[in-house]
Amino acid sequence: MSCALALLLVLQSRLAWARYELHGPMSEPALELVAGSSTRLTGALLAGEHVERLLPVVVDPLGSRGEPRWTWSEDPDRAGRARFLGWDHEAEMQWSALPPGLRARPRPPVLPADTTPPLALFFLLGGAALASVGLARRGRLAPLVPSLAGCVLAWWFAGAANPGAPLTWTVLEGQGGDGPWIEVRAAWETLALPAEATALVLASEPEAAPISVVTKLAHADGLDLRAPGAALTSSRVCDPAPGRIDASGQDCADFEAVWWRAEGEWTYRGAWSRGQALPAARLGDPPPGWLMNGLPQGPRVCLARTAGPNPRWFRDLGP
Amino acid sequence: MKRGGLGLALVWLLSAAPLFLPWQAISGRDLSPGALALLPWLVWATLPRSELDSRRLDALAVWLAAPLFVLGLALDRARDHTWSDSLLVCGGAALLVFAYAWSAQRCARTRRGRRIYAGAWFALIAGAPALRATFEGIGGALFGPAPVWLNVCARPSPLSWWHGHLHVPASGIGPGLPWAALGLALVLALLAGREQEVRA
Repeated sequence: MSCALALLLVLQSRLAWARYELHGPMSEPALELVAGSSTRLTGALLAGEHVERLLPVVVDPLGSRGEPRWTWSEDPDRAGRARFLGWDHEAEMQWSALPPGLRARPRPPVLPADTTPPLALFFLLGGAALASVGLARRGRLAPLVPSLAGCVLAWWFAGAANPGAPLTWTVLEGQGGDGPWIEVRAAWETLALPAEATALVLASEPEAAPISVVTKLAHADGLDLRAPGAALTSSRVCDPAPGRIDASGQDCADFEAVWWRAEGEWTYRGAWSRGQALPAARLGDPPPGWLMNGLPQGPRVCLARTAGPNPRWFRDLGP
Repeated sequence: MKRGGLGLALVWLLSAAPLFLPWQAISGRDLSPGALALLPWLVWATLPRSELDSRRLDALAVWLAAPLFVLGLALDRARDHTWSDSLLVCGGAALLVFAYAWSAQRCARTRRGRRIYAGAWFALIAGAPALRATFEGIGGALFGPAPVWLNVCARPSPLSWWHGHLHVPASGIGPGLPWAALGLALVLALLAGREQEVRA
């Protein structure tokens, strides 16, 4: 049963890894296996240059896996070539070696940022418009002041509603004391993965959403993922593990809020600094629903959040 | 003035209301709220004027539209549209609003200008794009794509340019400026101007 579940989870990844040997001349080569999804490599190879790379390929998790098609530019004599050396299954094997319960935890609730301005702005702009109409009789330039005030208000409100950089969820999942940890990163439409956090498994919602991947041609680098109108979730093994959590202390991070489940009862513990013992229970908010759902009954659970505008979430199950 | 003022108030409401709707949930992120907010102003600017229409309303419209234009631009930016995409879509639509308000005012000065502008409005500015949209939307299944002559007639309409740029291209290809629509506004104004010179 667990093998079947593990196989299913492996197959659900939208990202596979293929080994390629690329010979120049070529510029901005791109490969495509699933229609609409592609991997683009930024950079160029001159004639005579070649590079061997392990490249991410967006796949259909339930479809057959053939050989990707290549396109590139600046090769007038068609001398450049890409030689397929085979699929690399190391990521899949590494992922399937993890405990099934760890891989099957609920994903963060990724949603697009709400850019709708507050209704109060509608009335403020309406007031500015009425003031402009009222002042129009005093001269052609008299309505300038309320109009400019409306412009400033509009820009400020819409700017305040704009979250700036897209929010990336980061969740660290632990299980069983010294067991492995996984790091889950999730974002709406765009997800940047640094070289040290390359995905073992990539999921999208909707499942068949086209994904474009951009990385460098010359050497292994981070991945820039983009999927218009979709949520992207990347998972990898966290090595080294962030630390250890138990009631006597933790060395993961300075937590801003902690929820603790022991003997089936949830309690709020407030802030918990690194190296300190678990604080006593106190009154506070209940744990976020997405973080506490789908957990097995019985073991001790620690849910925690770090401070900051883009906090890291921790979800650790004890023995 | 009173009827014109009511019309302007209606245009303001139609322009402001869509900006406060949760388009994020209804449509994709590629929809441009700035372009959406400028549509009522564009329609209002292209409408044929009578000889008696007040020019004070046109001057007032600029002050009323400016905050909504800024809000639309800010919402475009909040949707991660690039500066170049946002400015070209919103700026292009705003340019058309100015160009057609000027052209309609100029044509309203003479009888021939009013006739030419009204004919062009029915045939090219509103008629051809509406007919093409009907062909493509409802008639497409029965008659196939719209005929070439209709596409040619609809191309210089400012409403066609607006419709073509309502969604910012996700591929990163920037939208083009509305040269054909600006050209039509200029030609209409020139035709009205010639009549004035002859009469003088």
